[in-house]
Amino acid sequence: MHPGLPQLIIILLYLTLLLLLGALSSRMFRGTRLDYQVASHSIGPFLLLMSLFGTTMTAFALVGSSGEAYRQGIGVYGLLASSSGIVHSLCFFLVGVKVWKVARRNGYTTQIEFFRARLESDFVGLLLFPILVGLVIPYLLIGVIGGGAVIQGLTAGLAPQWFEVLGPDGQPDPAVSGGVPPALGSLLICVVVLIYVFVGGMRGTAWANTFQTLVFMILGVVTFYLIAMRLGGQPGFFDNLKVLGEAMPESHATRVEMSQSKFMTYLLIPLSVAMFPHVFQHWMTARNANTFKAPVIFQPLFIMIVWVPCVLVGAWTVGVWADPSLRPEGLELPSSPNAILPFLVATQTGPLLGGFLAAGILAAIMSSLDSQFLCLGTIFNNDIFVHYRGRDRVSDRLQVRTTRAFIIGIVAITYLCSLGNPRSVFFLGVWCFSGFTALFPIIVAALYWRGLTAAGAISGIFAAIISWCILFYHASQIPPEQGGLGSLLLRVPIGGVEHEVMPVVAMTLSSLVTMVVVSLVTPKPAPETLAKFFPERI
Amino acid sequence: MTKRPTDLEPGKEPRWRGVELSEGPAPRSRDDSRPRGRSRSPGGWVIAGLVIALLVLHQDSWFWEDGRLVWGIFPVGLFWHICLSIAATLTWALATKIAWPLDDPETPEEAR
Repeated sequence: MHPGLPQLIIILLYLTLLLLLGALSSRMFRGTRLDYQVASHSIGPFLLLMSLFGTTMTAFALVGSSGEAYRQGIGVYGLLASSSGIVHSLCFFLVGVKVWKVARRNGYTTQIEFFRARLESDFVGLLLFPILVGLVIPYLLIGVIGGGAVIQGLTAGLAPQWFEVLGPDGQPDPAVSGGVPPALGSLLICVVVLIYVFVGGMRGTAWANTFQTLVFMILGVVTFYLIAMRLGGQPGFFDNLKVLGEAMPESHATRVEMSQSKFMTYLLIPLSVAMFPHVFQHWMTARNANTFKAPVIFQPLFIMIVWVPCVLVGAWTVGVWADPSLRPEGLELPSSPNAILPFLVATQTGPLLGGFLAAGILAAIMSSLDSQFLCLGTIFNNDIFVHYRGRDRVSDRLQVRTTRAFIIGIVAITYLCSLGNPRSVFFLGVWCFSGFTALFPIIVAALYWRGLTAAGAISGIFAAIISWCILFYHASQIPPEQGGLGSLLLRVPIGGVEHEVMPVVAMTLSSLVTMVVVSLVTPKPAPETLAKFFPERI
Repeated sequence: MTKRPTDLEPGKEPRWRGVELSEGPAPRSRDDSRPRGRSRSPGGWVIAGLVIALLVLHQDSWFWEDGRLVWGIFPVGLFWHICLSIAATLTWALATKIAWPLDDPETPEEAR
């Protein structure tokens, strides 16, 4: 069959299925703002589990995890996955359930509505709005650009005359030449996500997320099995695992090259999930508090199911290519670690699995994009349009239309930004997460500390964002050949030894200390307001 | 399409650890005998202890430079963290049993 064609057909079939799902969910649409934005709080445990998991896992879970394991070894599982398993559930348990209770009782749909009411401050909304949007947009760009690149890589060879891509040597680059151009692939993804979010709202998003999460979990495991069977060269699955395990070099089977203090301080990064506006909105979809039990329990297990196979494949690859008895003949590994998994799929399996893997990666990307688009549309509508125009002057129907209009605008802006192909956005991922983590003390204090004041919260937010800007500026001064944006680490001398610490520690501490100190010396919210948020203390 | 009943509809107020959420004088619930405050049951403390233990065990410096394979397949550092993921799942499952913060009245759908 023509190279790249089976993959393209499978990708198109998969996208068509998503559109059908969106159309199906739209038949249940009740026409109200609440139904569009939070599915009338009707989502049960299974859908909440799958949609939250799908939203928190991006393409990085499949492609980035194997690439990082190829680069750094098995330590990336502890660094990024087992830590997230513990901390995400902690956030769902400590923040999610309580936020759900307060927000449902008082009718809040977005974080900004919640903070405005808790702190009796309109300004806190104006302050948070650009920060939340600013931190989500690079995250969106990563998905849109990544999706276009995946479609191009996995359809390479489809139309060399039309979509020729030359390498540095002036010859067509076989890894991408002839594949669907990224601008077209990204457009396809944006249009599909836009359609099912537009027509299905949160219900369509939750259904699509559930379907897509199942797709990328199942395909991840199948890919792992097939790659292990090919790379090991043994007849049995477990024999292959043993051969590949023994081939793994010491540097990749241990963490000798990983800093222990960096590993420890990386634990703060997953706290960002508690401040993601799209996760907040998913929490609001829960039918009742018990609905949260499934995500709280299964998030660590699901992360393990997706990450362990990818990490093993990445770490094995180093050993296989270093061992002449295992190394596939005539195959050179790609220079980019993120291309390792697509490369293995393309060379060690058939075009059919290549197409399915492309669908799996797109599933992981789109299951985050949809929630983020919907959430930005919702906060534009609720926190700016309706808040300043007056709720009484805006009908439910108009609010649905406005949310949809904002979503179209955000999708268009994101797509146009992605055309500039700003590759540096990939390094922004950890900075986005760090920014959300720096705001974590504010949400915890808002829920558990009656002493939090508007001035304290606003000062804490300013401290978080100022420290973020200062550290980001320093990171931006690091040349790309020395690691660039993603390589900034603070060095803290303790007992005569310098320890490497993630910048997020400084941001979070500055936010926490400022918030507490200012709250202690400024007037508390009115007792009536506190009674709404702490009814159990009355 | 019939509207799904939710527990926050009138007459279906959930309780936060046994305390009615509605404003004004609340009728005595079955849990009113419990002392009010943040730490009413030892369950919360058990879960807090387990989560702290998980976070401490996450920093497994003892396996940092150990490249042994468990069952000839998993490097011991990876195996340890797989076990931590499973332990986290069990801890959070226990949390939903002994330290769940919000008791829901059953919705009619759940009761069926």
